[in-house]
Amino acid sequence: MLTTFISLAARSGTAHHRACFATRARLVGLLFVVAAGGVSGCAPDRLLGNKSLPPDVPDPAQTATPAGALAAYRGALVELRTAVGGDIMSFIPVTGLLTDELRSGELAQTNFVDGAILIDSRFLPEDAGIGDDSVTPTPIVMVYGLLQKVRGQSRQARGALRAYTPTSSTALSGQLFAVEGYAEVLLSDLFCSGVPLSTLNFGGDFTYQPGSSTQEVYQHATALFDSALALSADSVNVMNLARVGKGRALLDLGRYAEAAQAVADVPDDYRYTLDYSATPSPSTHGDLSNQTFVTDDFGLSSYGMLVTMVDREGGNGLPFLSSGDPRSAWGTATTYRGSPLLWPVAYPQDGSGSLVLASGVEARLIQSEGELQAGNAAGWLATLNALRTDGTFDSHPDAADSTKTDTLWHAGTGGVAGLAPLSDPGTADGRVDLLFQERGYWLFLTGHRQGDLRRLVRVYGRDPERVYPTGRYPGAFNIYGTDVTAPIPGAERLSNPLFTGCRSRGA
Amino acid sequence: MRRPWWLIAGLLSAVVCAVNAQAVTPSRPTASSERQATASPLEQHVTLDLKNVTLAAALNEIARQGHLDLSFTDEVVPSSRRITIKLHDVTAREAIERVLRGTSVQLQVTKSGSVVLVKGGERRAEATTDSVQYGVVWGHVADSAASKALVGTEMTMKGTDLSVVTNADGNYLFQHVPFGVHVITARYFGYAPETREVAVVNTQITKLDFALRMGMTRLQEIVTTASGPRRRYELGNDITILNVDSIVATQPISSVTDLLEGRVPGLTVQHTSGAPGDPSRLRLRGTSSILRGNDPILIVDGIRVYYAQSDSTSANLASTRMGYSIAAPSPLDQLDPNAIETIEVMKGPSAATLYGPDAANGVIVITTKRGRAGPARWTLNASRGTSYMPGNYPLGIYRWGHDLSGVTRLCPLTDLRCQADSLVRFQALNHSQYSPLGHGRNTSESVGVSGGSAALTYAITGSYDDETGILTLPAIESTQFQKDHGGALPPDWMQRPQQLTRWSGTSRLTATINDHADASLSTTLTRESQQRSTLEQQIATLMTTYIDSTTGTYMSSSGTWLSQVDQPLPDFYQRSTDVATNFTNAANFTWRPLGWLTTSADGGINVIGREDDIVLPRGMLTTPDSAGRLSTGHGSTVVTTVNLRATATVPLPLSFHLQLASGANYTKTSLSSLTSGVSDLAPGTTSINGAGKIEYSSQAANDVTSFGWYLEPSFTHRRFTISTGLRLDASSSFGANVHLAAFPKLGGSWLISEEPFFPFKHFFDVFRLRAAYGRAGVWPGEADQLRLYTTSRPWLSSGFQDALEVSTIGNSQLRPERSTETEGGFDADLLSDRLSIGFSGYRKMRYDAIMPVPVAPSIYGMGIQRLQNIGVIRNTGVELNVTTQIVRTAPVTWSTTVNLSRNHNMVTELGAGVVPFGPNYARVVAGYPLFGRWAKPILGYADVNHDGVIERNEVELGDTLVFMGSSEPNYEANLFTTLSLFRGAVTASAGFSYQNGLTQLNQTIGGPGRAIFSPGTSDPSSSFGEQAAVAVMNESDYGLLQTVNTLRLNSVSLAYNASPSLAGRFGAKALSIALQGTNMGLWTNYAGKDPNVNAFATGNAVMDTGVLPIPRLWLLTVHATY
Repeated sequence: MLTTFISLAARSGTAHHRACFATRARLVGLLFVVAAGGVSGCAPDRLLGNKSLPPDVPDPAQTATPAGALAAYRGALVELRTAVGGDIMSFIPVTGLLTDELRSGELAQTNFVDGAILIDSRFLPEDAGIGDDSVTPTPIVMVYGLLQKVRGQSRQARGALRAYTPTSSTALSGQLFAVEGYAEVLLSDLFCSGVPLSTLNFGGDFTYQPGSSTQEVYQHATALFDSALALSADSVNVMNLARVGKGRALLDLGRYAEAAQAVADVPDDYRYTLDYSATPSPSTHGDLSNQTFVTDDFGLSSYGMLVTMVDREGGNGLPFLSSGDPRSAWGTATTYRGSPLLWPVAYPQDGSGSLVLASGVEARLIQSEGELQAGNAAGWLATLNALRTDGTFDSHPDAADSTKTDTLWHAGTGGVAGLAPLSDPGTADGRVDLLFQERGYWLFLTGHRQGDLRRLVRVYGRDPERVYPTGRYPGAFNIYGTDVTAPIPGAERLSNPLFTGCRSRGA
Repeated sequence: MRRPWWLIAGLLSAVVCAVNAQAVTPSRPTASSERQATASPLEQHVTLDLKNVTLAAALNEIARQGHLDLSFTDEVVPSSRRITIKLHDVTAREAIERVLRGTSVQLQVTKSGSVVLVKGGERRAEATTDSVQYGVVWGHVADSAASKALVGTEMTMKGTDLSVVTNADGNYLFQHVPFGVHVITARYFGYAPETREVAVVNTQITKLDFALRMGMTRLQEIVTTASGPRRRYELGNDITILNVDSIVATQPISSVTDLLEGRVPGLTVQHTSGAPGDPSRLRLRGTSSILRGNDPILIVDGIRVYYAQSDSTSANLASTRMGYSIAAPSPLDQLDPNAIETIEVMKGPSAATLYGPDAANGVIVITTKRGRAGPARWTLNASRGTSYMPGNYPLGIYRWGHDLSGVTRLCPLTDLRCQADSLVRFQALNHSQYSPLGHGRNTSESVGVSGGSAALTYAITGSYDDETGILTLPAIESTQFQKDHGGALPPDWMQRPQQLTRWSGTSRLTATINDHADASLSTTLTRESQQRSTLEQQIATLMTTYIDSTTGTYMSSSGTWLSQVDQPLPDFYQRSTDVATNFTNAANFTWRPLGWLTTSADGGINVIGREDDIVLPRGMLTTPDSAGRLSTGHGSTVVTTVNLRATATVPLPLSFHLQLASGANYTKTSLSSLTSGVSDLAPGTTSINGAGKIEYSSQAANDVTSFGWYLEPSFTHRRFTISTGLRLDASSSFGANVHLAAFPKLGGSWLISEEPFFPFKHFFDVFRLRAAYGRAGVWPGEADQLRLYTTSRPWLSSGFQDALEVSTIGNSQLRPERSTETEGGFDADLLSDRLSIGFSGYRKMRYDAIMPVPVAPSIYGMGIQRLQNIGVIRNTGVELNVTTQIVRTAPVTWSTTVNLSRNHNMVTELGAGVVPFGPNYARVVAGYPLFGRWAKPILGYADVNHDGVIERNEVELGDTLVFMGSSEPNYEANLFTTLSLFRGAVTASAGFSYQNGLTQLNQTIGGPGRAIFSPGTSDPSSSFGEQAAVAVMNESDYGLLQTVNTLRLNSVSLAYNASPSLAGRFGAKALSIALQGTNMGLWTNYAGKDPNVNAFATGNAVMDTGVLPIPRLWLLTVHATY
C-alpha cells in the first residue's frame, strides 16, 4: 500500500513535484526494502517455528526430570559395576593379572594383542608416540575408560539430582560422591602417577585437567568421601560406603590412624556389593564368568582375556592354590584349546553373584593395620584372628536369586571354618607380611591386591621385585617385566592438551 | 549482532537515496501534458499568491496551473531560494519570468510544447564571445523488443566532448549543443550500438529517442540469481547455462543428469550403476565435506526441490535383505528434460552465497519452459531404442589339475601339491546361454504445446518413458524354476526384472497483469516406478562361476577354490520396487511499481512421496524363507519455499549506478518415513495384508527450517560492475539455539574490450575479466549441538530399572561449515564470434569442516567423540571452455565445444588431536585428498625358495597405509562436435569424455573371488609382481588398485532435418529424424569392466562394484513441430 501510494503520487503533479516524489519514493522504498528484510532477519526464531528432533534421537529435555535424574543416578551405579567387574576387561581381572591373583590362561599364545600376557608379565611400556594406543594393552585402555566414565557419569547424575530433585534426600548425591571417590581410588591404585581428573560439567562443556600425582588423586578421593559423608546422614549404607572408601584412601596415603578412625563405626557385617545377574549379560561380572574361566570361544577373542588362578606367581605371589585356604578355593576347567584353567569357586560360572566393594571385613583390616602402625601388635593380631575364627562360614542368600547363596566371604559376622588362629611372627616385616597376606586372602579378587602391593612398595618401602611376580615368566616374554603400574592410555595424551604423560611409573 | 546489520543496511539505503536526491532528473512528459502544451504553450493564465516558498515550489505551482510540462534541474535553477510573489491572471510565461527574475535562467519551449529552463547567462556570454548558439537534445533509450528503459546507456556526441548516460528512467539530456547537425551514438553492452543524426537549429529542445536491439554475445544471457535476473556480464563468477531445448532436440537425452554430464566444466558425474533409473552422484568442483552432504542444491522455478543424493533417502526405504543398498531414482532425474528451458549451474560459494543453506556445494537452477505469445505451437518428441552391454567381461583364469589322489581341482600357483594340467580362460557372462545380460528396450514420448496471448502465455509438456533394462533371466534358470515350481513360469518381473516407467507433466502459465506486474504458475508432476531384483547381484556370482558345458556342472569360485553348485544363479527371487511421486508447484509474482523498483515473490512446495518395497514372494524358496517376506518403506519429503525480493536501481553521480537488492528466503524441509517388515505372506500376495508375522516397524521424522535475509548492492560504472552482498542465515538445524551466520560475497566484472584504451579491439569482439569471492554454509545435523543420553533398563539388585547415560556430549558451540571460494577468469569472443573462450581458476576452501574429534577418556571414558569445526578442505582447479565454429557457411557449419577441468582436492587440516580416519577406500588424512584410497604397501618380494612362485611369506607387506590415489578424477575433458551439412538438412554430432586420475578398485569380484581374475593366481607366465599382489590380496589392495585413464565416446547422433516443404506434407512446421547412440566406445587402462560406476547409493565413498555398468543405447528419435 505504501509503495502504491508513492507511485500514484509520483505520477501526479508537476515535474518538480514528481521529481521530489520520485526522490522521496526511492528513499522510502529503499528503506522499506531494507527494513522489511532487516525486521524479518531480526526475528528468525519466530519464523523457524518449533524445532524438533528426529524420533530416533531421545530428546534430552525428557531427561530433565526427577525421573531422569534418578535414572542418571542408576546409570552411575551401573557404570561402577561394569568398571569393577562387569566386563571381561574390567578392574578386577586386570589387576588380578598384574598382581599374583591371576595369570594369563593361554601362556603359549604368541599373539598378545589381547594384552593379558603383557599385563600378567608386567610389560606395560608407556606409549610415548602419537598416542594411538598401539602399545598399551587393550584391557588397560578399557579399564581406564570405564573408571573415568564412572567419574563422568557420577558428576552428571549429581548435577541432575541437584537440578531436578532439589527437595529429595541428599544421600543419593552422597552415594554418587562415594562412587566417584572409589573410581579415583581404583584409578590411582592401577595407573601411574599422573591420572588427570578432568571433568564433564553438568549442563555445560568439559574441562581438561593435567595429570595429578598418586597422592593428589587419593587426596581428592578423600575429599569426595568427605562430601559423601556430609550428605549421607540419612543413609547408613552410604555412610558406611563412604567410611570404608575414606579409610581405604587414607591407607593409601599412609595416614593409618585417620584411616582406622574413619572406618571405626562400620559394623562387622557391613557389605556394599556390586550385584550381578546371569541375565541379561550386561549385568554379569564378565571377568569372572564362564566366558573367561571356562571354555567359551570368545574367551580368546580380540577383545577378551583368558585368565586363570595361579599359585605363588613369580615367586612373590601368595599360594592361593596350594594353601588350601577356603577363601581362595578353586575348581578346574579346560579352555577350548585344551589348556587347563583354574577358577575361583567363590564366583558362579554363570556370572551371577556379587562382588563386595566395601565391607566390615575391610574396615577391620584397616583398623588392624592402624593398630600395627600404632605399635599395638597384640590388638592387631587379635583383630585379624577375630576375623578368622569368630564364628562359622556365613553363606548369605544371593540377593539376585534366593535359590543361590552368596559365595563371597563374609567375615566379621562369623568367620571361616578351617582357618586357624594366626601367630605373631614377632618381627615388623613379618607382621606386615602377615597383614598383607590376610588382606590378600580376605579381599581376594575384590580389586584390592594391586593397591596393597603398591602400598608395600610406596609406603612400606619394599623392593618391588620382592612384592610383585618376578623372575622367569612362563609365557611369551620368558621373563617378568618391571612395571608396577599401568600406563595411562595414549588416547589421553592425544586429546588432552594438558596431559603430558605419566609423572612417574613407580609405585 | 542483528541490529547492527539492520542499521548498516538502513544507513546505506539512506545514503544512496540522499545522493540520488541530488541527481539530475529530467521528467519524461506525460501524454496529457504534451497535448496541453502543444495547444497553447505558456499562454495559459495562472494566478499566484505564494509566501516564502521555494523557487521550485513556485515553478511547480505555475506548471500545475498552466498544465505545463516543465523541466528544470537544481544545477540550473536555484530551487531552494525562497520567494514571496502575488500575480493575478498572468500568462504562464510571464509568471515564470517573474519568478526567475534575478537569475540567469532562461525559458525554452520544445516542439512538443515542453518547457525547459536552461542557463541563459552563460550561453549569452558564450554567444557574445564566439557567436555560437546552443540548443538542447534529450530523449529516451529503450530495448527495442521489450520497450524496457535501458538505464546507464552511454550516449556520446561525435565531434564534441559531450557524453552522458541515461538515468533511471532511461532518459538522457545534452545541454549546450552547438547549432548544427550532430551524430549521437547510444551504447549499451549487450545491444548493438545505434547511431543517429540530429539537427539542432534553434534554442529549443530537440528530442531524439533510441531503441536498441539486443546483440548476440553469450555474456548478455539473463542469469537467474538468488536476487533476481541479471545479465551474465554483470556477474563476477562463472555460471554454466544450458539451453536445454537445443540439446534435447539434437542429443540423446533421457534425464537431467544426461543434460549435465560433460556440459558443465567442473562437474563430476559418478554413476551408481547402469540399471534403468539409477541415480548418479554429482560433485561440483570437488568434494568438501566429511560428514555432511556434498550434493548441490536444486532450485526449480525459484522453489527448492529436495535433492540430497548422498543421504539415506536416496536408497530404497525398505530395509534390504538383498545384501546391498539399493539405490532409488534421483529426484533430479524425475524432472522432464523436455519441459526445461534452461539449466544454470553455479558451482560454488562465489556464485551461490545468496542461495542460503547448504548452497556451499553449488546450485542447480532449473527453469521450466515458458510460453510465447502466439498461436499454439505443438512439439512432439518420440524415440524407440534398444540397449545392451557392449564388449566382453574379463576372463577368469582357471588352472585345472589334480591332486595326489587324482581328484580334479583348481591348481593355484602356490599349491605345489597340485599337478596342473591346463590353463583355461572362461567367462560365463560372455556366453549368451548363461548370461543374464540381454537387450533392453526404451520408449519415450513427449508432447508439448505452448502459446497464448500478450496477457497470458502457457507451456504444457507431457512425457512418458518406459525402459526395460538389459537383465533377462537366462533360459537355463527359467527351466529350473519351472521344475522347482510345478511347471509354473517365472513371473514377468523375474524374467525381466529391471523396469522403469515415468509419467511426467509440466505446465507453466505466465500472466501479464499490467505494465507493472506479471505472475507465473508452474507445476510439475512426475510418477515414477522402478523395479529391480536380486538377479542384478548375480552378475558378480556368475562372473566367478566356471561352467563345464560338457558335463553341465557349475563350479562357483571362492578364491582359489571351486565348489560345485546346483544352479549358477542362486538368488533372483527378491524384487525391489521404488515408486515415487514428485510434485512441485511454484508461483511467482513480479511487480514493478516504479521504473527503478522491482519486487517479486516466489512461493511453492515440493512434495515427494515414496512407496518402496522389497519382497520375497511366498513359495519362491524351499528354505525357511519359503513363507515369504516383505519389507516396506513409505516416506515423504516436503519442502516449502518462500522467497521475497526487491531490487532498486538508482543512478549515482559520476556515471555510477547502484542496484540494491534485498530479499528473504524461507525454506522448510520435512522428512518422514515409516518402515516395516513382515514375513509369512498370505498365499498369492506380495503385500503386507494377511502377513503372518510382523518382524519390525519403525518410523522417523525430521523437520529443518531455515531462514535467510540478504542485501546485495551492486555498483556499475559503465563497463565495470562491482557486486557485493551479505546473507544472514538462521536454521533450526541446531535444535537448540538460533544463531545468525553471515555469508558475504564480492564480485567484479570488467568489460575491458569496451574500454577506449583496449588495444586488441580488432581481435576481440568481447573480452571480459571477472573475479568473485563468496562464502556459503552447510549446517550441522539438527542434534549435533546437543548433549544426548541413552536409556536402558538394566538389572539392579532391586530389579530392572531405568538408567540413563550420556551418549553424546554435544557441542553447544558448533557452527555451520563455512565454504569460501575465490575465483577469477575471463570470457572472450574472438574472430567475429567464431571462437569463444571462458577460463576460470578457483580456490574453494571449506573451513570449520565438521569432524568427530575424540575426547580424552578422562572426561567420560573411551570412545567419546565430539563434533567440532576444525577441518579444512581445499579444492583448487581451473576450468576452460572453448566453443568454436570452424566452418560457418550457409551450406556447412561445424562447431565444437571443448571443456577441460582440473581439480585438486586436499584435506589441509584435521585439527589438533584428530588422527586419520575412515576405511581404506575412503580415508581422511591431512595433506591428502578427501576420501582418498589407501593401502598397506608391498615393500618387496623375492622368490626365496626358488620355486618360481611368490607366496605370502615371500612378500614383505608394510604395516602403515600409504596413499594410492584420489577417488575422484583429477582431470576431466569433454568434447562435443556438430557438423551440419546441406544447409542444415543433415546434422552429425559426437560427444567424447576423458577422465584421468581416478583411482579405482575393481570390487566387482571383491574378496577372494577376484583371485580368479588375477594372473598372479594361476598363470605361470605372470610376473612376480602380479603374484605378490595376489599373495597379499586379502590384506591389502596395493597391487590391485589402479589409477585410471578413460576416454569414452559418450554419444553420437545423425539427424535428418526435413525441409519445410517436406515437413509440411506431414502437417508439421519442422520435422527431424535422428539415429542416436550413447556409450559408444570406451578406451581405458582399467582392468574391470567400467571404472565410472559407484557402488554406493548413499554416503560419500566411491567404489566399482561393476554390478552393472552403463549399457550401450541406440535410439531412433523423431522430433516434430506443429
